[in-house]
Amino acid sequence: MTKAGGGFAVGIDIGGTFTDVVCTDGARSTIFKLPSTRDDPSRAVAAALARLADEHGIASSAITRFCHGTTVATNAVLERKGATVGLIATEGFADILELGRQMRRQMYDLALKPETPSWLAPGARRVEVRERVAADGSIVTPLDEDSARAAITRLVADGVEAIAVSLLFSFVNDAHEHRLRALIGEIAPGLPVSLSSEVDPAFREYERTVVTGFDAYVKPRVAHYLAGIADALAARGAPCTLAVMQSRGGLAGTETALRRPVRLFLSGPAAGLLGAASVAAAVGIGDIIAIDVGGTSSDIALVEGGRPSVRQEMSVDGYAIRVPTLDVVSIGAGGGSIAWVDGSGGLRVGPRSAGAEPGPACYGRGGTDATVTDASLALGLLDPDGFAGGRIMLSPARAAQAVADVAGRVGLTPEQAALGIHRVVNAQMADGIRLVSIRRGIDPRGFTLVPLGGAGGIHAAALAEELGITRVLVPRFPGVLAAAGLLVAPVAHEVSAAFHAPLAAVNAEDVSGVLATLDARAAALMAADGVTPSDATIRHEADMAYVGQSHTLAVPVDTAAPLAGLAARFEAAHARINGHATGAAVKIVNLRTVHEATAPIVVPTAAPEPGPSLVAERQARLPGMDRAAPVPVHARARIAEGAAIAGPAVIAQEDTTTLVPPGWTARALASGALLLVHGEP
Amino acid sequence: MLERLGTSATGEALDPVDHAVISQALIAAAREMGVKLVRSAYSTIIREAQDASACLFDAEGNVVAQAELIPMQLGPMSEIFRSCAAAFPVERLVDGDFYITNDPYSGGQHLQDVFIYSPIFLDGVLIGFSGTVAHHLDLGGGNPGLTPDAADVHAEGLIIPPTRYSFARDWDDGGGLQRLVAANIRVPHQTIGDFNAQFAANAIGADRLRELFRRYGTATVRRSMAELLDYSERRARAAITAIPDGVYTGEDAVDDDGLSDTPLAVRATVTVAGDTISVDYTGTCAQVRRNLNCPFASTISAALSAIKSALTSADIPFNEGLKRPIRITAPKGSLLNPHYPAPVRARMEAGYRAYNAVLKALAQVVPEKVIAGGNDTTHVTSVSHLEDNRYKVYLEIYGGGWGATVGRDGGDGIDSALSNCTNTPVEATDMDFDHFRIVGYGLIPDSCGHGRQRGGLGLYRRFEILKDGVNFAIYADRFRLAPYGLFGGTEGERARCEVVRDGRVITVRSKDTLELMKGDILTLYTAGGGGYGPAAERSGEAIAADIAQGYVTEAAARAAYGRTG
Repeated sequence: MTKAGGGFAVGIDIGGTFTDVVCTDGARSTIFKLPSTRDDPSRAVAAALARLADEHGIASSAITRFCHGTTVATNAVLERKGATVGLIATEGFADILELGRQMRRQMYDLALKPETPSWLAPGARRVEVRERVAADGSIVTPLDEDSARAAITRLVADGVEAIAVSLLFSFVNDAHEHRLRALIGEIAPGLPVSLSSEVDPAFREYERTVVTGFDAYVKPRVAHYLAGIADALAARGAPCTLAVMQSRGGLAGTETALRRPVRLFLSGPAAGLLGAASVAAAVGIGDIIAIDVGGTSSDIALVEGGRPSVRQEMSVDGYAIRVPTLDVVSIGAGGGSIAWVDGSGGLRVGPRSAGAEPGPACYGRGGTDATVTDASLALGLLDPDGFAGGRIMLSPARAAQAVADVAGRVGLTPEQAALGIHRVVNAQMADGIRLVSIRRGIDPRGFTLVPLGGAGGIHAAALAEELGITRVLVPRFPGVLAAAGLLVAPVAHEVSAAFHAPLAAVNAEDVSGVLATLDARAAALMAADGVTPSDATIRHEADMAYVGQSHTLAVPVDTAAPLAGLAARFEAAHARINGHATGAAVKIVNLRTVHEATAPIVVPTAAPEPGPSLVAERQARLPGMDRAAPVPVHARARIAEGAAIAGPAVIAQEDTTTLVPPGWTARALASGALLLVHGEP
Repeated sequence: MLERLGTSATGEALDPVDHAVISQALIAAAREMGVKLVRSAYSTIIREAQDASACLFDAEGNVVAQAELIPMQLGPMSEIFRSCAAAFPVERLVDGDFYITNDPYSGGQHLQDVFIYSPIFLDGVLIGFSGTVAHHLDLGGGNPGLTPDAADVHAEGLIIPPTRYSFARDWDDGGGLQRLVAANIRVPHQTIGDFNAQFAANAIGADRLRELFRRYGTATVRRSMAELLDYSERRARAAITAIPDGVYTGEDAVDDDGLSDTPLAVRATVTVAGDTISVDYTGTCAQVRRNLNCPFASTISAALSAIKSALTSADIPFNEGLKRPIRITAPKGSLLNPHYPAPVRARMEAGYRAYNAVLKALAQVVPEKVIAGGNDTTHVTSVSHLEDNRYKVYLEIYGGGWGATVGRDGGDGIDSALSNCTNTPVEATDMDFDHFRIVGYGLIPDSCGHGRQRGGLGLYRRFEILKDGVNFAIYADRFRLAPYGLFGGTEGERARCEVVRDGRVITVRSKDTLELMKGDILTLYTAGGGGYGPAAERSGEAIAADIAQGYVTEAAARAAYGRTG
């Protein structure tokens, strides 16, 4: 599946509004957007295949790879349209899901809203079975099969559509969970089951129960959805399997994805980040900070040495869920964020957003609040007639009015207020970047900033300057990077196991033995997705902590000599992230293997169009200018390879606008990307 | 009409954009300190229960931003700082120094809460302080549990008076202070690790503050810090002005002092006058012999939390400015302002009643802003064991039902308002301890008070004891005096604790110690919250939903509401 095999590879990212399509045979790329079909996303897939055939002459029978990024799992949660789930717990612990950690997020609120996802399986659908496993995996109380049958029968009678099983210490000994699955199979054949020992074999029962509950909750819907897409492919005779993006940034085949569908959250942002990384890799840049500026929020992520970092927890609808995810930080600031004045007279921006409807004031759809986009228009940074490829006409007068209203409330001139809105929102984005860099002990100044999404190019250079970053790389097609990222994504599977032991008491053979077992399981998943072992790269990691701590840090393991340098690497990571290292005894908590089969890098590009790139001049005030002045506007499509444009300049293209402030120079690269460099003539 | 931003002494106005950027960065830095303190801690009480807090201060020691973790610890961060500054002048501090104290009679709380403040210098100039407080598992004292029999504060553990030390000389790498502390506590490995996490969090706060001063300049950041305080003050005064002037009183009581059955009455007189509010605890009972005494710093914290929660909206940052229009007094020698050397370990119980009494007083004038009585107690248990000459100490803090409010049922099984401790995962206790096993943990159906809005449910935790000679200690409350309902709502269920040994039930008192034997089954039940408004006004759907989900049994619903839907 990783090789296009001479045929075409298609990446389709289905978002809320648009379905992005990128198709390539390695040499030529076809890119277009379709309206999403929310009621049945497989119709958009069928429409995309039809359009490829009808308008671009690419027959479905020539499509040999089909990679998909989906929001189906996330939407099932946001819309509460998942399965009716029953939960089976160890006797005495059915309420773990509801009690959570007994804490609250708002410290001084008196009226508390429930903060645990107990709606996944409310009290009536939580049952207990008599059994107990000890911390070392030994059996304290054998599974009482009568209580188990009774519990399962009760859930089935209640009409559950999926069952989550989360028993204490199943991550050490999974026998009882496996036996329960067999019993469920006897009583209700075909009922989807999620076992905590498979979904998330790690310590802390509440967190493991939550992720297992979400897995069961989305499983039937994801299965139905993927079957629909597979049918659409088969109906058009496409000779390819369906690969879907997981939140950790790797593709999985339908069957393997359905084993742990909870891993499909954040499928889209993960693909976008891989797309950004591939654009940088194509020009030999491995260290990037990607920022995707959307309407309500911005997603920020750091890629070091070409490899995005993965964390073991994410958030969906405000619930922390323990699944491996590309480390993308989302902040509540984007182009639609609304400017307001707080009680102390401070100018604030967001997190409230005008969204797509009514949108910024300048959209003229009834919005009157000044947004970041209104400030951009008021400063002359956007072309009122060329926004979003001319699909949305912007009203400078409405933008000016909205900005003037805010200005009056803070006692600034409208221009000062518009600049202020930009400064405040840029400060928030810069803080998001500090979060993924400085606060993790990484100096951002050696990194290249890669803006993606429509609004990134407006903020990129200013952000870079605030952080001391001197290079900004603007992809040729920043608006479809997620779809493009699908094409370069590796097939990847991660398998982990709890391994609690002080490092001093561990011998290398034991670690190697566990890793070998994990490797066999990961290899089986890879094989199921059509990857032969020789095509996969394997990395090993250990989650480690000082003896006595319980929050862990992931440390790379040298496969040949698994204990070599482990303690030192942990100490270095602890010093970098938590600010101190103590030299105390260290322990291993989990072991993990990651198998990846990478795909060749394909970056969609287009040949320059004829004609001079300088198309207009516009009164504008870019960052670094002390007042508004006429600024040259260049058409991105006409900038020839190697051409250099000195700031101040505005570079316009269908899906984004890039600012080149004074002191910056933009240069078009052979790959199609635009490289902005600060402080170079 | 909106107020203008503050101006500096030189009359130069603060740029609203600078201010927005700097104030948000200060709050983010304080939060980062809190997160990293918890994540690098060793003991379950900090790393799992998160019984720790962090703040950034201006150069004068005013809290400007805090990580919102534990309200009780945060209230008096500045007062405790001032005790340190009084002991060793700020002007003589040098880079690398720190203040440390845990002394309840020098502005501290109880000995387990150790406050550490690190001065932050930039180019030789003091620009602020970073401070953390953490609850330490054991600081010595009479026995490894909760020292309920302590006759005075000295028997409760090691007292660290407000003092200045040097990190490099006195702590780091086996320094003198570290050796002294380690020699006087029972689990030095974990505890010293937790101290180190506090120092590291302070260092992170210092880095962030220096970054801000470098980026925006000293004058601008200082003005922004001052404006943050002024802003909270203005908002607090505006909120207080909205309450009718008058004198309102409220009373509640701690069950007993563990020696007799006499309730320990707490009385608050709340006076609202214009844009100021004062709370006076005259009428509160005298200090007691056991450890239920509440040091004045904790009293201040409790009263502030009640006022902040009920009167101000959540978006007003909690800092020194918020406290300016608020005055809190308690007679010396009372339960809420004891004389040295009274023991204070279990001060949270009286602290909660100080909180309840203020809310009861406010209920008379702002009924829509207050909350009915809830579990409102720190139930702490210690299950410890000495084996092979090493102590194993397991401390747990339990939530319970919250009172109902005007628009919402009380929260079920959540830690109480002055605290915000998380539970220890059952799997963590099984891995760390072999002298007991937790065999049950859940909500208690029917433990709520009823009303138009019902109270929250209490919770239970059940232990099977696996070895002989296990030491059990508890301090808790609401065992005899139930959480009150408001405006027609009924009381919540009381808390209780019992041991089943050989089929016989042993009742445990709310302040108690006993030796447990292998095979004992110990269960703690926490209190449910009181209801709000008449039961007759509860909606049929809400009653039916409670029955369907098992929160309330049919029989209890019939008894309380006369209907099941």
